[in-house]
Amino acid sequence: MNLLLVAVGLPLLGAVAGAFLPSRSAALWRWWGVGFSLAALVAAVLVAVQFDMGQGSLQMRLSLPWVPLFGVTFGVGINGISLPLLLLSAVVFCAAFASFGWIEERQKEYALWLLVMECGLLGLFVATDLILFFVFFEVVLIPSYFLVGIFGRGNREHTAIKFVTYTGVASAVLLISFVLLAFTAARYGGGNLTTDIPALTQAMGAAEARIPAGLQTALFLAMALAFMVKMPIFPLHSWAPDVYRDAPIPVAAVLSGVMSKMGAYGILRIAVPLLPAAASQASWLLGLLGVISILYGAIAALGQKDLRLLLAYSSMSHMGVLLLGIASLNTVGLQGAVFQMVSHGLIIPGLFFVVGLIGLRAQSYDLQELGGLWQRSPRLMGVFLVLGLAALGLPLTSGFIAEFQAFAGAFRASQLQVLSFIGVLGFIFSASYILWMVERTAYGPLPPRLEQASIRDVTAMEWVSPLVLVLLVVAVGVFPALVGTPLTPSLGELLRGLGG
Amino acid sequence: MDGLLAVSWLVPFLPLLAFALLTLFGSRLGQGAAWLSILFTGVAAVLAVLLLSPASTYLQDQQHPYQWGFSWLQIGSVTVSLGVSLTGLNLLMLPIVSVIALLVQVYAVGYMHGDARYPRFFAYMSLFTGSMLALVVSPNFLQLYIFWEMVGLCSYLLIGFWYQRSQAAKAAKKAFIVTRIGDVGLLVAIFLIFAATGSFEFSAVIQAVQSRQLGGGFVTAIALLIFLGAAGKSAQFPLHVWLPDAMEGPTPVSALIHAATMVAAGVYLVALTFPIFAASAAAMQVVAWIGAISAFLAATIALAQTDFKRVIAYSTISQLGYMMLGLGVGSITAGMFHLTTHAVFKALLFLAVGAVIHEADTQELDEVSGLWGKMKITAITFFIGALALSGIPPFAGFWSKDGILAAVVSQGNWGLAVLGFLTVLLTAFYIWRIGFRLFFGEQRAPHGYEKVHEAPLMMMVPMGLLALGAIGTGFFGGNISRLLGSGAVPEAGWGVAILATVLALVGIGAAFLTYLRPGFGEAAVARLLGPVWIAFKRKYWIDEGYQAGVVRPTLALAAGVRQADGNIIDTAVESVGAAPGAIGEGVARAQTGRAQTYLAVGTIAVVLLVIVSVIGGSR
Repeated sequence: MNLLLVAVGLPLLGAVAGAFLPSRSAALWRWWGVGFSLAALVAAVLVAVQFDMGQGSLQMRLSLPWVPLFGVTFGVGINGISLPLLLLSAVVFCAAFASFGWIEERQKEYALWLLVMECGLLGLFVATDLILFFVFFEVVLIPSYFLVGIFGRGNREHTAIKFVTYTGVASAVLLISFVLLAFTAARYGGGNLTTDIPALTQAMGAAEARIPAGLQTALFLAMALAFMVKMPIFPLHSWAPDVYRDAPIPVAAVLSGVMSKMGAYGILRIAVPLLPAAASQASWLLGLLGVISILYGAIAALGQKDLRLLLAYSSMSHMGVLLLGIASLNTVGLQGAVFQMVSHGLIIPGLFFVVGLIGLRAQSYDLQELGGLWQRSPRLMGVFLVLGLAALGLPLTSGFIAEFQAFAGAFRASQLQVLSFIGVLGFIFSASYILWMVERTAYGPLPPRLEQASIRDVTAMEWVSPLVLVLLVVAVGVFPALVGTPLTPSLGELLRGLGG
Repeated sequence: MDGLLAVSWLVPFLPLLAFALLTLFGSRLGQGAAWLSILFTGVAAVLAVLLLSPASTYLQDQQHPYQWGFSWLQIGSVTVSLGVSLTGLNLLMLPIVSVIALLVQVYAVGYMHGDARYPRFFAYMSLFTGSMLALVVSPNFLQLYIFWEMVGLCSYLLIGFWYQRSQAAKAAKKAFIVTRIGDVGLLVAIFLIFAATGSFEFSAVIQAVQSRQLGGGFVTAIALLIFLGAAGKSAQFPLHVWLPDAMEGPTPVSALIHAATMVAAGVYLVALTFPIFAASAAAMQVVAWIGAISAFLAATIALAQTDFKRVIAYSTISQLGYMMLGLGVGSITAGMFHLTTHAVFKALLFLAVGAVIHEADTQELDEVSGLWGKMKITAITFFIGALALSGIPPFAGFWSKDGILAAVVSQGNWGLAVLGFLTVLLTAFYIWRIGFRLFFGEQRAPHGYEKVHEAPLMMMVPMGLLALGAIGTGFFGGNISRLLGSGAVPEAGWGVAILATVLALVGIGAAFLTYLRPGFGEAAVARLLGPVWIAFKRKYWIDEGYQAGVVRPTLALAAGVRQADGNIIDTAVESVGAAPGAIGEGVARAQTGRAQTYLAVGTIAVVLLVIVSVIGGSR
């Protein structure tokens, strides 16, 4: 049995089997989720163990005809770009289930929807067919509607609707451009209609000269647009602050940590290799939007009073770095982009967990009402500080090596040099808002309101999710070859396709 | 002795290991935490000193430094490695950093006694020591930058060590952000170098510069960007504002990080990348002038401050300015010689005032004086440091400052020379002002003069050893210049030495007349100088200028963006989303309706796909 299918199938199995169980015990559903997500993580680790680090092409490939009429296949496979993301997703979902404590009712629904979402995300990162990719893309969206709309807080229904509407429109654009792309390849390449990504890449490469440049650019921009909504990138971001503020903390962690990577992964793994000429033409635009997102997100973060909104804008700023890395279209920049996916995917869920725990203790997310928590919760604040430092790109955390490479790549790309000079100012702003956030939360005297509250340090169950993430952040920062080694051959292959 | 070279990586590694151990087990060790840290730093210091001879022999025999490294990350065809490079410059820095770190940690055993977070303090000190040592053995820009930021982190953590105090927390944040402005300059320089040469190795860059592969404007730009980083770290004008505030940290931190080692990293960086600067006359001018201006301005500010720890902080800015000036007029030897002597005598001065703060529990000159009767040994060590700082022969500062002034005079730039000599006068005045006011005059202390005693022995021993150093290190100029291989300590005849000494004596005399003779005092000086004195006292309003010109506009912009993002962009999105609903059947109902529609569409789409696939599959 293909290990990739096992990894993707286990959460789905959990969701389907769970549907037949009675919904009484809350604890059952926590361990149900932890169990199945851990099993998926074990499968993902086995995939990594069997992975041949020296090989750049797809491994563990499985491709079955699905809709032969349109050349749609049920295809999965993995390479050095998707492997770290598969592992990342599996880890973040385990952490989300382990931090189950926030959900006080309807735990069964919550656990099952989260498992469905995990299946969608794991599947997306191993899909090698456009249509299958799209199906997984949607499988992620539907649970997130319920998870935000039912289990969120504040104006959650409105937020969930806005989210689904916004990203639903993006999905429509994406599906249309996928279909058009398949037809374009078939028409100009002369082969059969197919949606298999490796076959399409070859067909598009062979037919590139014959396809009108305008059509290529239009297709690329349509896809990039749809993908940028998910990241999100300025000015397509306005669903994100609402969702990250109103979603339950574990869901916000999963959405910001992993779902946002679907977009970046789509650009890097589908839009760029399938339309390399258009990508290179439009790279300045990606770079521009990336730099705007970096600065806009960072400055907006500096102006926030709500911790979760601060993280939302910070997240957008980091997505800007990722996009800038992709826009460089060279080895170091693309490597930086993949590092940034992994790094941000570990840091931001960790920060959401910590912020959630702060909220549980202080009954507030408002920075003006917090302070002095180091005195009561030194372990929690220690993790908060390290994750914050990683977010501002401190060396020996994953954040540094990711942003360093992304920018090094951007400075190496002649079309991005001026933009990069402006973008590096983000390093100053990120230091400002992160250290301000830490100061207003951890340092100084305890406000009188908190002085009376009995605030305890973290319990073991609260501790485990952020701690695992922080350890991984440091591990990748100290030993970047963990991510870099499997990546090098696959990036080499991708760049050969770009003619670089 | 080659075996010793092979384990040179232990020098930075041991303190880093101590940090790891203290982080994991520190709270269980209690007081033992200090001794673990001291043991590891001590072994590193011994190794650093023992390395000097075999490594410099290796350097002479092989004509290239001993290098050791391992591959850290592959980027395409570029291998980035971490490791150790034992150049003359690095070999000089290793003993300075490790020995002073050792002495300061021993001192801190007494100073930090009874602090609630005692193990954590030594964990941070170990992290700093290891990072600083790793910085000065870097074979490439990437490792340098990694540990450049790590020492900045330690500075942040230690300035804010007493985090309950809002002032300390604010000072820590300010230090990190202001130095990061400089760091971004260094970072951009590294990116540009990588873009141009495809490498992070120092040798590759320097080779490209010396073989004139890079354009003149490009080299100047890189040099200035590197200098921006150096100026942030070494608190040079106009990025000096963080260092005085950094005095919120415990005094051992001020001595080690904010006087002797980390703040000197900027000077080290310019010396390290000197060939890049040497290729650009404009960049050299900038270095020299920023150095001279920092030296002079900081000395004038130091005259009028009443927080004596801050006076010494301004003195550090001023002395670092001298080092930059020495480099800017072309003498690595002069700059690095002064870095060496300054590390010793400034650490000594901090430890001596630390003893006063420890006993009298104040940093305000107005609250404490006449301590000679109670703290004779502290007073003597302080005055040895003061003699070295003012440049009175034969104390250490005389020799190294003379080297810098000689270099300036032989270059013949009179503007720089005037600033350099004037600063000698000011330096002597401000440091003896502190000495006279602290140790002489009316006997008083905030919690009662009778309660003041000499500090514990653990604090006195490092002070004594540093005092010996403040007398002795001046005689090692020849050894340093041989080790660096960058030319002799500059000389310009007796004239410079005599003029500098006379100016220093005048400064001391003026301080004596002002503070120890009845009838004349600081009030008289203030009256005499009028608005000038107020400008000194208010630090030229530079902090206020940043607040009004940078901080507040940025925060206003941030608040504006927060508003605009909610009001404009989000409203636009919401109204686009609401329009079809409003046309239909009223917003509220339509909205719930819409979500169901979308979900229905989504579900139907998936179901359709499955149906199609089943039909398609059966064909």
